[in-house]
Amino acid sequence: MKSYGRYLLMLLVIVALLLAVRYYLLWQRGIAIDEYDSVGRPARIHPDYANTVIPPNIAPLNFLLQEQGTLYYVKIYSEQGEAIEIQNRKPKIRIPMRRWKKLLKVNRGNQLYFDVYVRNESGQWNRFETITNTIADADIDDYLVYRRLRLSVTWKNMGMYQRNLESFNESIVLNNSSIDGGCINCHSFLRNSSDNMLAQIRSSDYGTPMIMVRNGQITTVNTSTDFTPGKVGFTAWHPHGSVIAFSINKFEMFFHTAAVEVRDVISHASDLALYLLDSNRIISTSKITSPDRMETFPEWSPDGRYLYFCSSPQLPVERYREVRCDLMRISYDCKTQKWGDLETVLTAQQVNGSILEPRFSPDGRFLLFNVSEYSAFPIHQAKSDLYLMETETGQYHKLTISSDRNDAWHSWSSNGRWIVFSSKRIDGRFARPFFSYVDNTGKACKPFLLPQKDPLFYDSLVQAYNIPELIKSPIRTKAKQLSNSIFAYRKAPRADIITGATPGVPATPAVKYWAEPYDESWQQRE
Amino acid sequence: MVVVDEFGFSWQKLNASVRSTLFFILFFSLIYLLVDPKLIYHGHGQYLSYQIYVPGMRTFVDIPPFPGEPVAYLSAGLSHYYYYSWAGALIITVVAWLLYLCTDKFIKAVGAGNWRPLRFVPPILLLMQYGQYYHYLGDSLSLLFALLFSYLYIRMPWRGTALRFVVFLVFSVAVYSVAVVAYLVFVLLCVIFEFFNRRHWAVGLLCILSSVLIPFVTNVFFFDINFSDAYSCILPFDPVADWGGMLLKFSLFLFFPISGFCCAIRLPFSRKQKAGKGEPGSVRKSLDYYRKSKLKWSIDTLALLILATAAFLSTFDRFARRYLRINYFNSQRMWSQLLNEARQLPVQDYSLFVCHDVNRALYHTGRLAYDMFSYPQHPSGLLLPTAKRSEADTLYELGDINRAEDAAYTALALVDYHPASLQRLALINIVKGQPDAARTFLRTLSKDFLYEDWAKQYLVKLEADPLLSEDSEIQRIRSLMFVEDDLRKKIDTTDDFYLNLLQRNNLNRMAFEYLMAWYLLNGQLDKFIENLGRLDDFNYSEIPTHYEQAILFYTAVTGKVVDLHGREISVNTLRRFAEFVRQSQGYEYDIQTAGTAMPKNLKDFDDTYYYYLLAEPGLTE
Repeated sequence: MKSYGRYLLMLLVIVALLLAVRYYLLWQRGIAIDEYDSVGRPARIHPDYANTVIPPNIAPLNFLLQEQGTLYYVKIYSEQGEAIEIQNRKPKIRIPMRRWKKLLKVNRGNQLYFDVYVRNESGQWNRFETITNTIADADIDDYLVYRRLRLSVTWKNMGMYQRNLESFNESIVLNNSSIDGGCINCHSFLRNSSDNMLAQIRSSDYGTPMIMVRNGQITTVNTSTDFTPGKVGFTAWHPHGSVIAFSINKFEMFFHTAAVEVRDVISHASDLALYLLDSNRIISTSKITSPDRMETFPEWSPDGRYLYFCSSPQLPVERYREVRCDLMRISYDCKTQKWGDLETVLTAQQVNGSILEPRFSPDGRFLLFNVSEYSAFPIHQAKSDLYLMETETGQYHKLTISSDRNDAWHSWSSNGRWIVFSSKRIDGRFARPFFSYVDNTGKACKPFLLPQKDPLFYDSLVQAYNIPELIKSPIRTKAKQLSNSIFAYRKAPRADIITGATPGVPATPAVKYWAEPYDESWQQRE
Repeated sequence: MVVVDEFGFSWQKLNASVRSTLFFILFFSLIYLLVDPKLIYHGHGQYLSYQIYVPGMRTFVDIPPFPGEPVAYLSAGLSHYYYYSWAGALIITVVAWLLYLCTDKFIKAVGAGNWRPLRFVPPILLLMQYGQYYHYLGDSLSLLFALLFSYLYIRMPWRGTALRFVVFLVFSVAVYSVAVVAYLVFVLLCVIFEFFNRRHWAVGLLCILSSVLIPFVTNVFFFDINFSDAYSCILPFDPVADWGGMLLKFSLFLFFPISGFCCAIRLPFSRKQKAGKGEPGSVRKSLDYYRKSKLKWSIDTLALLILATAAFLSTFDRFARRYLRINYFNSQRMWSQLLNEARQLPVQDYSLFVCHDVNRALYHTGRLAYDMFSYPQHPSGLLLPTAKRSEADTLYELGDINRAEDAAYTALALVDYHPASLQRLALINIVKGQPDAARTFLRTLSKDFLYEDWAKQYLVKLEADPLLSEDSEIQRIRSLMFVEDDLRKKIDTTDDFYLNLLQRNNLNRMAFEYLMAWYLLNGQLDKFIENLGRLDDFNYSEIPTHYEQAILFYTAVTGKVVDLHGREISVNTLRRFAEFVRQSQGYEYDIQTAGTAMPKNLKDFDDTYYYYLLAEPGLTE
């Protein structure tokens, strides 16, 4: 018996050695292509990683060569460092991670070249024109957090995930299977930091807690009051981190009989409010809770002085095509909790569409927003475009990177050089995360798709990505901790809106309702 | 005692092998011929809820790792092969044989050789489970894994307490992680062995105590599930199963610890038997005679086969089989077989699912307006909004493409992989002129070897012509779909829906027949008569029978003359109606007693519309 074991071990060692030698030889062996025919065009690659600007810390841009051949050879090189040579009998080009990182690291600001050769059935090599990309000087934040979901209101297996952009590693932040279903809607971060994040839950079993992680501590906030007309929708952290602006929406879904997008959403009521973290209070003002208007998509200016938001007249569902949001702002003083006057920044009429999802660049120079034909809910629009406004001049323009399909849910990197957005440009159905480099002048470069280990990954993924947010470091809070806080929220009594007393339940801070000046609009609407 | 000849050949072993071979041939035959595993495959996501895994699909990927995931993967992967009944039957038979083998090994390992006939019990229980159409492949595979590890533990040569305990801990973590639902079975078998066979109380107690901690510790290191889930998942509960299903499920799980316990406590008694303190002399003589009889093997074998067949047939759910067969024929568009199957279903066992499938089959065979009242009916049976896959199919054929798309998305979202919904979504997007979206669904389907050819064929077609303008069926559906966008707040199943479809295309025959069926089912005869003129839009050479019956009834009740647009009511229908009127003289309709209080002689008219209207209580929601 012992001898059998020894033989087996020897056999395993030999096999392992042979595999290692084969791997090494294949790895090292260059290929000398002396004769080839030149093809007067670049090779078709999928996803389209050509003529774009990429971060120096992005994972390998694996791709598929959409050219017929029996052998494929790709040389990836730049001005410095060792070139990467890949040969494969199949058209899938998978770039070795370590060498890719090395190459990009020493070539910041340089061009990156892909030389593509394909051998045809008669043994003749064809060389395509070199594909060129630019390696940006600026890094992108290391992690991307997004929601991935199926296109159904059943919300089965909806999850919030984080992806390391330097590799292909994805991990679950929270999947709704851990909380018996329900919707995990919008998440947001304070200045691209995973230390301060929040996500909103809508669950028939566990209520509507706002999960907040603040310096690693999890709390669940009960944002519902007798005066609020709906559930929390969209959120924005004040740059100082002490206030969260949120929208309270009462959505209704309806269906189109003949449009490309089947589903659509209208908000029957939509107001804004602030949650003051230190005092556990919710405050608002009649200026942003007008019963005649829908206020939504809050966003703080980077100096924290203004709350920007989108606003449209409150209309019945039958007039859904007339829902067009203006971009507005109101000043707010965190110290005195005083509100200023409402100001219109940009009207729907000016852009001939509905202005949604305003997002400031971290330096405050640019405001990125999207414009769709109508609606206060861009995700169900067949088409929406990205616009950029220079905040100092107020000048705005439609970004050329906008596709003829839906581009939405955009956000900025912490250094303001990268934007990420969900786009349905590939098939019109399933939104995918795209990145684009934005230069000093506000010019956005050709976007590229979040790379995956398998270049055909998206081709058969019948799920959509939305709310992609860039963060500098991973979320370290475990899914179990998040779900436990949601369970604790269910057990906690509802916060008393007058006294706010919920003693003995530290996971669910008491929330007080306090409006200044006193606002009756919510109550009236009830 | 096993008799071995000079060549090492054992007749007893051969006899046992032949018996087990015969048993498993019977097992395979019953599963293949009666259970028909392809029905389980096609019931996926409609009647039955389980996972199917196809390489490349994202089954289980989006959710956090969970205990028992490897077995869940294996089960989902094997379930894919149920598409072929023979492959499904083979898988189930192999699993049953492995259970048989593991049970046998276990019985021998605990030294209870006399109890070896018990090894046939798990396969028989499995047979009974499948006879009830409970697809618990994951449970069986988990049991196999647990039994394997129990066997390895029992056969472990080391006797030291510490070493045995460490091995138990390692095995426990493995069983909990890989086959969580059988974790308790593993623990109990090990404990029983330590208590009663080895009489090593210390190890047994340590096993019991540590087994409580294993889920917690394993969860801390390997999984990220909630504390309560870490413990609740070790129990093989099925929220969908009825008490019969749960009984069978628990019987299979409890069989091992109970039989292990019985084997263990029986051992001292067996030894006493051998010492001559067993049965009384006369009984022993009879048993000895039987044991030596040449017919023993044949009788035992026959008894086993009869017992297995009887156990299977006594619990075999014929109605479930019929439902699943109807569902299968519906998915394969085998209309005449579907109607034939439905005819054999007793009226009280009809469901809305069956009603929907029957109506669809009747339409496709051109018999909806002639035969629909030969089957139990309900207004909700036309579209069936509660069953998304069926609804998507019917809506697609009717031409409401957007609503079909939404229903298909929902059907797809409810299970991780659902090929029928992917096919439907691909076709919907082709019809809508969205080839890029269609390609996404087709490429997904092309990963499944069962649908690869179909998907690739369409991908090639789309490459040549993104709108598939040469495809007559696509063009036909396209001619029916709405072109002017309108909003719809909720799902509309009323006549407005069909009227809108007819407004879009007045030649939408299915919309017309479903509209008329809707009016008939709801007794809205005024509106039915209003729309009778639409017969001219189609090539009806005669007035369909049910329409004739409705016209006669309407005329008799209201006294109004109905414009038949140049058509005539057939003599046969007139004669039957006159006979019905004659025989129902004196009968007063009462909704409380409808159907039950109907004179028996009127049952001859139970395939007529007026019988439905006056007497038939119909299906309930």
